[in-house]
Parts: sequence; structure tokens; C-alpha cells
Amino acid sequence: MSVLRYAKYPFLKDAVAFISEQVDVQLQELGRDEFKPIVQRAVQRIQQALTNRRITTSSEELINYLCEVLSFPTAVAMVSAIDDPQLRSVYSLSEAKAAYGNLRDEDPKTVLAISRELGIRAEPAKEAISDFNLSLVDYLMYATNFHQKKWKPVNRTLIHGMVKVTQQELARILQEAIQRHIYQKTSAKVTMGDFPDSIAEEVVGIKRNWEKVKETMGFRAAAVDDAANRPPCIRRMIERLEKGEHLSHTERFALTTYLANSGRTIDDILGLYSTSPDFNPARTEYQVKHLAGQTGSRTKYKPPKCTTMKTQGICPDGDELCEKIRHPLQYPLAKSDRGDRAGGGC
Amino acid sequence: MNGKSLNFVKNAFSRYYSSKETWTPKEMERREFGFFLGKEKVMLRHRSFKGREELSNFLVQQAPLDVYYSVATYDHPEWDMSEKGWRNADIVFDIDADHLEIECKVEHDIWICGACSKEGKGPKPTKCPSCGKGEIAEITWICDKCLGLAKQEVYKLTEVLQDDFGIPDEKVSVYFSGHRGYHVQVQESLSSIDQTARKEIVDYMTGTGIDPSLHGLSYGGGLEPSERLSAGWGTRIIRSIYEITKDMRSPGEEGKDSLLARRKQRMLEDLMRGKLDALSKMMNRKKFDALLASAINRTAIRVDPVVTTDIHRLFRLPETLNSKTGFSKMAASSERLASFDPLTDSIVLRGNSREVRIRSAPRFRLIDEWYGPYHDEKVSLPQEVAILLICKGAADIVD
Repeated sequence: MSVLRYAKYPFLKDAVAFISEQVDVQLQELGRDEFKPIVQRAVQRIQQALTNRRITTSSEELINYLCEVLSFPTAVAMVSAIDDPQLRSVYSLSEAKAAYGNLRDEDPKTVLAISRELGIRAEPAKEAISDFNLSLVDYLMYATNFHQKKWKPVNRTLIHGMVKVTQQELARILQEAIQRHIYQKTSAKVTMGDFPDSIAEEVVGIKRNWEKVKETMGFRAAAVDDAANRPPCIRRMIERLEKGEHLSHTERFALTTYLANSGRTIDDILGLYSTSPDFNPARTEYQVKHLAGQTGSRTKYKPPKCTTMKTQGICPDGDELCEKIRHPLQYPLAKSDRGDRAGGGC
Repeated sequence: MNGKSLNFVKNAFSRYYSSKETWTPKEMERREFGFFLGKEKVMLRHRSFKGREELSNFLVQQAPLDVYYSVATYDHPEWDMSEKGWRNADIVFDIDADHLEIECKVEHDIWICGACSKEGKGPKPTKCPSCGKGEIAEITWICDKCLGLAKQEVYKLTEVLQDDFGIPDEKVSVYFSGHRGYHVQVQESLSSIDQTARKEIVDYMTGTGIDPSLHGLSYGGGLEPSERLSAGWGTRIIRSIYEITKDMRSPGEEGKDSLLARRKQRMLEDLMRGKLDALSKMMNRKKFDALLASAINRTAIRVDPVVTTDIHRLFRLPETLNSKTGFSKMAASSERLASFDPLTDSIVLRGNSREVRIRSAPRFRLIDEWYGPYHDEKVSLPQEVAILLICKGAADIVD
């Protein structure tokens, strides 16, 4: 692989091996003047992740490949020292997105070489040079995270355990693999004391900046359940219970966990089941408490994702809001968002 | 089942377990075992066994009514669920006749109201139509028709496992469950994949979330040349459309050279090449979509989604007895599947006649004999038939 490729894909083992043959830099030495450009570029990598959610590399940076490659492990060490899973996630995604941009148009041989290094079994498809066959196990490992329906195995050509993908799709799968790979790398045990003072100051600066960014990312708590904000699946189950109809085990699991995760008390939930034809107060109370994390292992169970409920055949035809969400607990939030907007216009 | 009947059944189970070598799974010592010892609904679980002999002794001494083992292997199978240390899990499929849309249910399934003893045929109502109470017991039966349909699903499943998933025949085991269906188990291949990936496998089998246009199958469309292969959903849908339309008869088609017959011939040839143009010219879009939907429905495989996605599932141990029938969970490997008759080949508790009092049972076949229908009568029946009726909750041993 050419040296420029190491600069494009600095996370590869080969890139690290190649560089360590040329220069051997320890963290403590990074304070030296000649390594200043490396540190600057490392800081810039993380800042780009925070502001653009993607690392960009200019052609000058690419040509200065030694600096470019070395700035990567330096940035990884800095992110590791800050030790925040969310930052690790943002940073690894930004690096992986940059790799995706390059891999889409990369020479197919390089794409295959990178796949191999990430443990992904792919081979060129015979029919077309730009297509690949990817092992189903590896496909399932990464593509199940993607939301678009074209990624569902049922919508792919699957023959003898191999899934056909285009180069762009393989690049997208590699992005996912690269993100996980870099996320793992940033779990290294690095402390502020491992850096020379000048670099430690830089890391403190990044951390301060990250705290600000993090505030704007705030994760929202689930909304409190009321009759008006329930998703169609939950609404239908409750209607059926009220009519005295029987719910299957999977439906009861979904309903109980939904209500327990949106502010309903054990008594509220028990009241709902009391109309069931085979209501057994003691057994139902035990089961509801177990799912709500109040007995046993104290695990509070979450309701299944929308796709799981579809698989189990307990998702009725959803409404237009359902298209925007992946999880029933997101429904009330989506509904209030829509309501807020509509209200704002009046 | 009263105490006397329970003893009778457990004695027969114990004799059976002492007469044969116990089947054991690979990596037996890493699996969790679970048992129903009596008729109460509490499972004895989190047990592990070092080897065949230890398990065998347990089966003979305790004569459990049902025996299960985990599809997963664990570091510590006997510890609490959260501490077990999951390693991997075989992929399993459950095909249950109860989940198929079949008419014979109405002929042989019975419900009885616990409050007023009112009886009826078919699926149980939520409330008793006579007294309005909800304590309704159900006695489901099986027949050649429903078990035959379940077997058809097994054929479809094993073909997809082999052709689409590339799993060799020797890694796929098929068993009659000992009651209403079949269990298909895949060894080693794919055993490391997580729950989300297993859900995708279920969706693949059941056709959940399929968009035929992503396979090139839309009005006037067709498969890409490279997709015209022997496997995959696109090919299977085309094959189903071919089978459906080949059997369709329309008026005016009788003569071999009639215009309609020639058009149909051209359409079938088109389908053989993976193309839908000629078919699309013969019908409007609405009819085309309906045909596509019924082709997908025909291609879909009815597996129980919950069983396959559960990576901690306890699954019935092969060659053990099913307390709902007294039949054995019996291997029906692919070369034997065609001639496998569940109502003969899984009957292992054959023996001398016993007198039983039967409450209610439809007419049914076991091995080569037909029995019933029975209603509130005393009958002397071969051991295997008496056990079936007792296990179904339809009869008890007479003193």
C-alpha cells in the first residue's frame, strides 16, 4: 500500500508498523518542538470531530504523511485520557466517516485489503468489478444497525451465505467496523500524567470544549404516559385488554415494559390487567414488578424496538409518526415535537 | 391428570429412559438443563450435567414429564442467568402447526368451560358463551393434515438454509417435536450472532419487511441478470408467481392455439427468465400487486419468531418424551423426512392395553389404527393410546 494511503487510513496496523520503522515517538516526547505539528494536527482532528462530526484531510496534510499518520495515535491517546464514552463515540464516528468518504471511490483491491484487516470476509463478485460478495456473518455484525430497508437481509441477494453489496455499501459497512475499531482503541488507559505538561494543557482545553458541546447534545428523558400520546401498538393492546381480550406473552412484555418506562406505577399497570379473562393478581404483580426492575435481578427491562415488534407480529400498521421513530418510547416525544411546532404557528 | 394417571405416565417414562441410551448435545457440560417434574407449572432449571450417565440416571430416577436443554453454551450453566457467561447459541427454528392457518383445528380442537362444563369445537372463546365466565380449558389435537402442512414448512426452511445461507446439510438437524410441529436446529454456523442478527434471520424466513422492488420485482420489471440464480428471495418470488399463474385457468384458454393460451405461454417463458413484462401486460397494477403479495405469502416460512431470537432458549432435548402426548422428540433428517410419519415413528411407549375413562376426544389415528370419537366412556386401549389421552387431559386411568 502506498504511503499516502497510510495517511488516509491511519488506523491500519500497516500504517502504525510503517511509521514506527521511521520514527519512534513516545507520549512523553511529544512536547518537543519538532513534534509540534503532530500535536497541532491531533488537536485539530478532535476539534473537527466536535464541530463537523467528520475529520477532513487537506492535500498538504496528505503529502505530509508522517505528521498525518502520527497525529492519529496522538489524538486517540488524548481522547482516551478524557475517558468519556460519548466523546469516544463522536470521535471514532468522525474518523470512520472520513474513511468512508475515501473508500467509496477507492481501488477495489485496497477496499478488500482493508476489509481483511478488519476481519471482514469479502470477495469480488464475478458479475461486476464494482460489486462484492460479503460473508453473511460479517454483514449481520454491522448492517443490522442501519435503518433503511435496503439493508435488511430479506431485501438483499443472499446466495450460499454471501450477501451481494456494491462498493459504496461495502464502504458503509467498513465505516461501521472502523468506528468500532477506533472506539476500542480509545479505551486505552492513558492519564493526564502520561503527557508532558504542554500537551496536558491542550487536553484540558479539549475537555472543556467537549463539555460545552455535550450540553447541546443533551439526551432527552422519556415522556410520561397518557392516553393521548401512546403509539398505535400500545393503544391497540390497551383497547383489547379493556374489551377483555387475551394478550400474548410478547404483547404483555411490550405493554408492561412500555408503561413501566414511561412513569406508570405498578398499581396503574395492575389495574389495566385486572380486566383480563385469566387475571391472577399475585402472579401478575410478581411479573410486573420483575419487568419493572423491582424484584429479582433488579434489571428494568425496556420495551422491544419497533423492528422487533414487527418480527414478532405485534406491530399493527403504524401511523405517519411511526415512520420517524425506531422505538415505541420515542413516540410520545415525536408527538410532542409535532404538537409544539403546530402550536407555535398559531 | 389425577395422581394415579400421573404415576402411570411417569412409570412408563422411567421405563423408557432406562431402556435406551440418552441423547446428549455437543458441549453438554456447558449447557443448562431444565425439567418439569410434575404437573405443576414450575420448572426445575439451572441444572448442569457432566456426562451422559449422570443425566441418564436423573431421567430414570425422576422420570421428568418434559426435558429441556439450553441452545446456548455458558461458562457456568448452573449459575444465575446474569452470571452464566453466555458463549454462543445454536440457531433453532420452531414450526408449530398451531401457528399455521389450518381448517382442521375446527374439526379436532375442543374447549371446555371450567365453570359450567359447556363444550365447543375450534379455538377457545375468550369468555364462555353459556355462563360468561373466562375459565376455559383447551384440548388441541393433531392430525395428518396439520402435521403434513408443518412438514411442508420444514422443506421450505431447509432449502433456504442450504441454498441461501450456505449451511451444509450435515449441520442441519430436523426433529418432530413430539406434539404439533418440528424443530430445526443449525449447529455451529452462525452460533455467535446476537439477538438483533437472529431477528433479521427470522425476518428473512418469514418475509417480514420485504420490499420486492428492491429485488427488481415491480410492475413491468424483473430480476437483474445477475440475480437470476437458483436461490434468494427474488428468485423464489418469481418461482411462486410461476406456480400460481401456471395453475390459473381462465375462460377462452381451452384451445392450445388460442390467443390467451399463447399469451400465457409467453408469460410463463418470460417468468422463467426472471421477467415480469408479459405478466404485467395481462393484468392491471392492482391485480399484479395482489399476485405479488400472494407469491410472497406462499414463499414465506412460518417459523415462531420468539424461539429463534431467544439466545437463552431452553429447547426440548431430542429423544425425550413430550408430556402433551407421550410421543418422543424424534429425529427426521432430510433424507428420512419424506417417509417420516410422526404419528407412527415417534410412538415409543407401545404396550399392553389399559382401561381409561375418557371425557371427550375426537376421532384420531395412531400408528395404523383409528380411534374415537369418544364421549364420557370407559375404554380399554393400548398403552400408547391411553397415555396420549391422559397427556391431552382427556382421560384418566380407571382403578
